[in-house]
Amino acid sequence: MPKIKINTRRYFSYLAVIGLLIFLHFIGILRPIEGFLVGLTNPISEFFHKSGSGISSIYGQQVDKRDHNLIIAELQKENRELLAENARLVTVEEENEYLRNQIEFRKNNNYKYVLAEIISRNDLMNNSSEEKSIIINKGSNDNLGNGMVLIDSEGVVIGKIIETRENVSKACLSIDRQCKFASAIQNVDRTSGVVEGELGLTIKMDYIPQTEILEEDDIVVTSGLEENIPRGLVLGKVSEVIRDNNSLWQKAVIEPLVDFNDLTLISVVYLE
Amino acid sequence: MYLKIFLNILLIVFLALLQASFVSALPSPFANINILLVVLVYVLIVGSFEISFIYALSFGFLMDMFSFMSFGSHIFGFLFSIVVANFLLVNFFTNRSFYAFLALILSASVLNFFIVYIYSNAISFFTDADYIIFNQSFATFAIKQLGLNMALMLVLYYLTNFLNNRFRPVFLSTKK
Repeated sequence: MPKIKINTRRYFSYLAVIGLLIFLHFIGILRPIEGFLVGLTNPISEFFHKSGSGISSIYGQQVDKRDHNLIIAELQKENRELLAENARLVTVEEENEYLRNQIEFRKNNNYKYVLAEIISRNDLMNNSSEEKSIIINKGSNDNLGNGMVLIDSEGVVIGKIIETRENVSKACLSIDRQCKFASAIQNVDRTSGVVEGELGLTIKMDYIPQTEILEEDDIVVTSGLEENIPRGLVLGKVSEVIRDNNSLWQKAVIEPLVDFNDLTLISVVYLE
Repeated sequence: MYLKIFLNILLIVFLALLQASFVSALPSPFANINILLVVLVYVLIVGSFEISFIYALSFGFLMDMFSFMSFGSHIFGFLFSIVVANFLLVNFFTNRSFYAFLALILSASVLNFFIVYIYSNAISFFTDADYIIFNQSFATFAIKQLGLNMALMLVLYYLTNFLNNRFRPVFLSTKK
């Protein structure tokens, strides 16, 4: 049996150093240094993330059917743009009708965008397939706050901010189970409810009354009932409706319209 | 001396950013690899405990800064892993063989998961920091990371052996 050597004094001094670091962080003395260092390294992080995303994108393309890759990508982009446009028009039409009925005009969609770059994805030690989050290079210094919605270049919802620091913010992606949005389906009944991510792959809307008529390809948009999130932003389209005759409720599986692996630049929407 | 310190700081920052931004953007399963822990164990074996300790503290601090998990989880995770790996290296795996490399990275990775899990969930009771849910998805991620860490360690082991013969077994011949 080998002789076991433990230098207790040395380990206690190490623990004291770590304890001091953590204590200084929690009382806020380290915050300015951390903020400065994160701000300083943001450009390098952006470069690294772009490189990683580039590799990820190439890898994804190789895995897919090679011959149809470009055509499918172009069609999907076009389709996303048309769906987003259509959803916006439906929302505008509804708004128009409402305004005409009420004979009053209000300024809606009065929101601004802040461009941000993704600098990291998921936590090192919590990178399971169900946890889908990103870290962006804008934070409370740029007037960002919790609950603000992230969209891509076509206006499709990517996720929402769940935590902000001075120069960075963490956002959950719409396919993360912790990410929930007040939303509405653009069907005959204008079904509304809360959608949440499922298994890091899709979005679901649960507890929809059986009396509501849902169909595949119905567009799901934000309902505007949440603070900081305007209505009419596209979340995805219904890909499957799960009905059980013995149940009071039905469930809609919603397919997101964004390729989350390709994202590098996003916009954060905030209402004025 | 100062140049050496400066180069080490650059290397630490480079590796931490590589892990936080580049590796995290890679496709699955490569995004699960923990290159920092592999580097720490490698430095521990080929270098010294002191250097490895400083690296662990720096990596932990930087990762805690970039991450939204409880502050200190990475510092504690890396340091405890290195302390235990050093204990095993000094007392049980003194020959620095192929199996020693694998055993050390395996034990360090398992301990790192254990410490981060316990610490994050304990701190999240008192703060609004993120916590880790242990479910099938997390277990799959952990197993993938263990496998990838071991694979990277194997690459480093063979690379070291290829570049020099420090870890090759030496047989003393009794024949004249």
